[in-house]
Amino acid sequence: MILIMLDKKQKRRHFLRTLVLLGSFLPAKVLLALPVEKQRQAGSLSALPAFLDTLIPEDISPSASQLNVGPDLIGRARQESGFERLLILGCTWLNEQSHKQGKQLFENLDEAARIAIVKTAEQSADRSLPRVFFKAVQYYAFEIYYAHPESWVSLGYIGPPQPVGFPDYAEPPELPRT
Amino acid sequence: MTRPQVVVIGSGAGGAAFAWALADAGVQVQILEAGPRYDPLKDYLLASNGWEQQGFPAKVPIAGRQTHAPLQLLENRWADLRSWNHLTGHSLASDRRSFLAYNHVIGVGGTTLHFTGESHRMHPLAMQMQSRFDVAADWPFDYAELEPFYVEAERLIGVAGPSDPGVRTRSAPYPLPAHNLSYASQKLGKGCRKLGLSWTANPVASLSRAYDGRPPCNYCGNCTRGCPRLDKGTADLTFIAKALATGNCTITTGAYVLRLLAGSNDRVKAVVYGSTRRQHRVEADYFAVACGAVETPRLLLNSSPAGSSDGLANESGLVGRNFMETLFWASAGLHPEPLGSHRGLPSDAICWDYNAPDAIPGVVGGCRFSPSTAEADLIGPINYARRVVGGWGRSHKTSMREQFGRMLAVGGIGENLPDERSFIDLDPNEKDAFDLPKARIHSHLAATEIERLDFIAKTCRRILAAAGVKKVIEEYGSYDAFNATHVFGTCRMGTEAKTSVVDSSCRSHRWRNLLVTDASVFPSSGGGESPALTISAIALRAARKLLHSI
Ligand SMILES: Cc1cc2nc3c(=O)[nH]c(=O)nc-3n(C[C@H](O)[C@H](O)[C@H](O)COP(=O)(O)OP(=O)(O)OC[C@H]3O[C@@H](n4cnc5c(N)ncnc54)[C@H](O)[C@@H]3O)c2cc1C
Ligand code: SF4
Repeated sequence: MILIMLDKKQKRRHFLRTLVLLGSFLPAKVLLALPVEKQRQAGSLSALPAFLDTLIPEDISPSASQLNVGPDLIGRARQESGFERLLILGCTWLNEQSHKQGKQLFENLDEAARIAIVKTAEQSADRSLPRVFFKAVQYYAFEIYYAHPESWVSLGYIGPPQPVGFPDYAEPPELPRT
Repeated sequence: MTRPQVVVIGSGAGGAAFAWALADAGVQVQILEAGPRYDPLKDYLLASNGWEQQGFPAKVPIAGRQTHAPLQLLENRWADLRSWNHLTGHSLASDRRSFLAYNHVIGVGGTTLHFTGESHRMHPLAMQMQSRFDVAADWPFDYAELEPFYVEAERLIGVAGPSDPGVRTRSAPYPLPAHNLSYASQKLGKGCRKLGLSWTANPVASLSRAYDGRPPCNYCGNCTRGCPRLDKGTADLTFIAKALATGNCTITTGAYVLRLLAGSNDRVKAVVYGSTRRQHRVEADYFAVACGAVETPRLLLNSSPAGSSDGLANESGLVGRNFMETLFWASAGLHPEPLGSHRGLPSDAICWDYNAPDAIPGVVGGCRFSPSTAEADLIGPINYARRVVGGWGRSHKTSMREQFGRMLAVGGIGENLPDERSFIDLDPNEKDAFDLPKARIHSHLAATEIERLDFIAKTCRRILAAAGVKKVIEEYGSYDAFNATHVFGTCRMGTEAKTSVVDSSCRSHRWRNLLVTDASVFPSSGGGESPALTISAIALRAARKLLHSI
């Protein structure tokens, strides 16, 4: 048999390695110098739900927030202080960008403005804060969001794999319910 | 049980079959198993919404159990064999081959708990690699000699396979009819036919009908995460359950064997195992080591008799040598039509056309091809989102709907010939919790191996294209990563004491009450055949031979 295990290992190591490099960014430098408790107070995660909903918006299937991705992500980040720091720094960066545009918080921007900022993050240099933040949140948001059966319906995925299995396996698939 | 007649160390494909055959014949057997039991209903979480977030739920972590020596530098001329993904580029950034894992399970049933269930017999010619092709070593018996034990192992496991045996002649049909091919595998079959290649049902240890008190498979596609339905014929549900039912066999879990103690007259007298830091000693008449092809040589090397530092049963100097690994490649792409490719058995079909040792033009050693979508873990929404679709926003969601269920992957596994640079030794620097040196894995792919891999990769791409795939999304293989699932060869069996560790009955040439009954004894790897069935068949044969002495 052939086994894939590249993905998880590589990604995790990459994020954590890159996090170390972030110490050279401002305001990352200032925030990273603080203990996690202080960072929590100094930085806010209020932009996170809007960021997640820009990545995974509501259409015929629910948005990230509707499936509680934010709290799950924060819960996971709290188990790994490096990741929590990254979230705080990333959300601070989102608000800085939105302030530049119209002096408001990221979560108060309209969708077009949020999309523009997320694009900037996605297209930033490889090991820059916005890019690492974008990649990490995208990676874990997909994992949390697509573990919800509500996200499966419009894909035509009738899971989980057990207890029913896929008895129709030899036939063409049924088209997804839209 | 007071004093067992036979102690078996390890309960995987080899140890379990060996223990069953003896217990069934009335011999008192004690199995010492380092790991715990798995409860399929509780431990394998395929009915939970988070099923895709974890792989096989290892209770004993495998990372760090072994170490590895630095692997070889990669070469530009083989750039086409680097692992990559269309969203993330090269999967491994290093200019050296990376060590990812020796994939195995510590637990009752061993690595079969995690296996896909392919149940292959060796190609008869792949057992004669030295005399016919001047490479590796010959097996000390031929296919015909092993055949009855294959039949027995297939019956005990419940193998479902096709009626046409091909070159692997059979004295009895498979106990169960072959499974129908999944819709996605049918597409790959069409591709193969276009290329003039065959594509037949793969013999597997998943039940096509209720059998031996176990229900038929329901085609959930997740055998490598552990089968909660109990139909996959793992060693714990088959050989071990039957051995315990005889009343002649006990199993001690959490019994991590530290060393074998050599006595006088070239006999082993006892084993010492540790559990939660206490040490226990068990004496018996015979001892069978079946810890897998990495840990078995380690145990022998850690068991030097007084006055020696070479290890036990290492008169030939070959314990740990001739290490063979899994030479594999997989190509995955997006098919233009919806396939529902997350459905069906992971590896339900096979192309044996290049399996004979002389079938690949210009390279000795064969290979085979099979579907790989499930083994590549491209059967759930999370992996689609991360590895196939990517992006974000509304376009991401639309693409998820368009693409889910359309991934199609084909993989190949090939012969891996022994190389003096591939071996297992003791790490002089790293020790385990009992202060014993860990096994260190040395792996090197010689040019011939990479050429074989290149053929496999090119053929996978051709099959995928012929099946209608327009866009390749991801490829990976063993050129840039050691990520072995099949390992063999480190206690080679043979007729000569100078050139092998055990004889044709798996007994040490010198220590006659010591046997090795796992994948370590393979003289050659085969042309991509999955090994578990052969390991069990060899172990059954070794047990029958031993009965003459007991
Ligand atoms: C993901 C995956 C998929 C696979 N798919 C297939 C497939 O489809 N078909 C196939 O034929 N093969 C497959 N294999 C390979 C197959 O599972 C192995 O080749 C086979 O199980 C090896 O048998 P073994 O007896 O040599 O070792 P194992 O099955 O690994 O058993 C070794 C046993 O020894 C125990 N042990 C180790 N050290 C000690 C110690 N010091 N003291 C006591 N106990 C110890 C372990 O806990 C374990 O139970 C797959 C493997 C993997 C990882
Ligand atoms: S595909 Fe069949 S054998 Fe494999 S895990 Fe699912 S039910 Fe078990």
